[in-house]
Amino acid sequence: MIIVPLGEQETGKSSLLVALYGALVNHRAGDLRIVRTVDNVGFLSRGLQAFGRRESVRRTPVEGDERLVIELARGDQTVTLELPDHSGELLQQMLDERVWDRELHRQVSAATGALLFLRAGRPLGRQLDDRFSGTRASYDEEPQPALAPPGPTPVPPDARAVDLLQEILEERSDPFPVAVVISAWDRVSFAHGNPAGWLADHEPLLAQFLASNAGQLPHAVFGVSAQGSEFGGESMDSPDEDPWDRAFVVGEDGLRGTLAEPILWLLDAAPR
Amino acid sequence: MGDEFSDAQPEAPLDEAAPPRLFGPERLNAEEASRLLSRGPGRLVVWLGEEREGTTSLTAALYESQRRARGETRFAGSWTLLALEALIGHGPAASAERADDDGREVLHLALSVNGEATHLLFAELPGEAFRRLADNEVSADDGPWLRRADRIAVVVDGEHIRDPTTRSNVLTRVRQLVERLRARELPDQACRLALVVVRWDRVQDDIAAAGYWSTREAELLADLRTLDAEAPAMHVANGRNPDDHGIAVLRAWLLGTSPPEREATPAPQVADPLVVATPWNAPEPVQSTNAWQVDEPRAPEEPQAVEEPWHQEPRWEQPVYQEPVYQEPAYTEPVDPEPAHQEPAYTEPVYEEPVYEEPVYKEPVYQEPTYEQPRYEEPQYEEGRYDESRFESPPAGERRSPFEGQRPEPDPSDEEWLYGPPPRRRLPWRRRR
Repeated sequence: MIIVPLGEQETGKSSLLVALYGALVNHRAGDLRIVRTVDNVGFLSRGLQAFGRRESVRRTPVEGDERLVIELARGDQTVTLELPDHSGELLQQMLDERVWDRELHRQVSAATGALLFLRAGRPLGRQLDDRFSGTRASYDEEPQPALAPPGPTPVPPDARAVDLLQEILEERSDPFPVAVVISAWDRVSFAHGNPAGWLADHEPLLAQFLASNAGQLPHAVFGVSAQGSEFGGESMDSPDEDPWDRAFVVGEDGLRGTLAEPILWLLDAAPR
Repeated sequence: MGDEFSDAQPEAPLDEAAPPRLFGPERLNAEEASRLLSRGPGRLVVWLGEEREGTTSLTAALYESQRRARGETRFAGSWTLLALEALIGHGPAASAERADDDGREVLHLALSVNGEATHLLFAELPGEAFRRLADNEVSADDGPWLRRADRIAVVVDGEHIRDPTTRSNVLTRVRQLVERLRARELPDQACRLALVVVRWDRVQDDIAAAGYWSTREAELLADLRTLDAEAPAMHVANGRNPDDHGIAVLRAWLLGTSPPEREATPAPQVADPLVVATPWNAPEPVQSTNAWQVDEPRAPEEPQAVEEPWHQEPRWEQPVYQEPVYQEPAYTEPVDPEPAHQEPAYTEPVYEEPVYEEPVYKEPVYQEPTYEQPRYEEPQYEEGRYDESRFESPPAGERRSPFEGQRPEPDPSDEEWLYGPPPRRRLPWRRRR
């Protein structure tokens, strides 16, 4: 079965792929285990080495055609899973030029489900009126007029995600399960009880769209921290922890689980 | 022979056919709108207004309001998603701000209530088209959308109502429009009409304008109700303010759902019972009953015989005088009932013996006062504390201070001695980064 990751730049697609592979190899994926690795996984090994050095995974090049193809066993069930690793620029380019990328179109048409990636913990362009309100360094100061003339604000991520999902619905007549992955969850987990609540607060258009089209787009929302924490700081919270032990997933119930949970949910939600 | 010399490009294999294009940034043309409506329940909404800014901002405000909504009404999709985003300032405003010459005029917003999606298609008849229609330069039939509309909202700008020089023109335009529609037997029976005032806050702020409009609005509404007996009036404070209650009311009217209750907001300055008590939310079929056929002109409908034409003034009929019939009042003997005397019931008082409690005497405890003998401390003599020499007579010709030996003589040039140590120099406060 093909599970196609969908997400723009820096939304954590490659990081999850690396962390998932690390969890599978090192038996941290619950009852899901690797039977056989089909393709070259050098890029995943290099990613795990980077996590070990507390470095982020390198971004996938636009021309890259990396993928993880593994045969997995879950109890008595065996399934071959194909997870292509797309560049975020590819998707952005496709949405900007308004023409389907040929390879992505083929994969979406054949896929069993999708991992839709969003990133938490960074400004999402929702400050609609800030363009005209100017900047204010502190409350003691008068607001200063904005230096740059107001230009068009980028289309928010939730609208772009809806844009993509609508196009997928046009291509698919059968139900298409979508696991929404909110990456860098460790940055926002202190403020949000569960990922679905974060989605409704920060990406309301997407949350409404998924709820309205739940029949065609069965979905679940997961918060994922593939790195476990933000790299680059001087402090190392737990230097002895391995990358696959630092990484975690928070499900819709707000509880921590293994990195395989989004995949397991997609396996269960896939039409028989 | 010939094929190898032909300039014609060979046909691309099927699997190399051009990948499909994505929709979203452009408005829909009639063919696309028709295709969309064939998928499910939908309504065509036509904004009629003199200012395009007002009509377009209504669509934008409806979308922006829905972005933040958390109620039962949910966003269910849009074929013109990026065009709507452009209207609220996201992304390039290429083809969203105005309809192009390609006939792409329709914006789409699908909303779901209780799980059922309704496609709302928004078309506009603003600006020059509105003027030409009002001035009878074109017929209402010439408009591409009016006969197909499920909702027609006559949009009035509150700024024009506030301006004494333009407010009368607002009335004229609305009445002209009503007359044009009526002349063409528009709108369709299933179509609902409404009067929508945008920038209502500009009217509310001005007592004179609010007073002017309160009576005129009722008159205009009465005119509109000759076309649609359930036509309501709605006030949208600011077309771009998505939190405005008027937007929520407008959305409910478009969807045919119950209007939301107003959240603790101050009462309007001008209360008009005609505006408030509007039964426009009566149940109705969601599916448009209007045929949406592209490039297929409608066959002229047979005019139906109307017993009472709308344009006839109500006839005044001479009231029939009826002689009042005098009825002799029937006399009834007043009944004077004897008041019944009730003997008051006597209850024997119950005497309760007071309980005497013997006071308890407590012997006071005497405490002997303690006397402390004052302690005498012998003053200690410190060697060298007293300089005996100051009591000695100074040498001849030398005057000595009586305080000499206790403190150094002050030096008038020594400011520190006089005024104490200099204050510590305070560095200017700096913010810690």
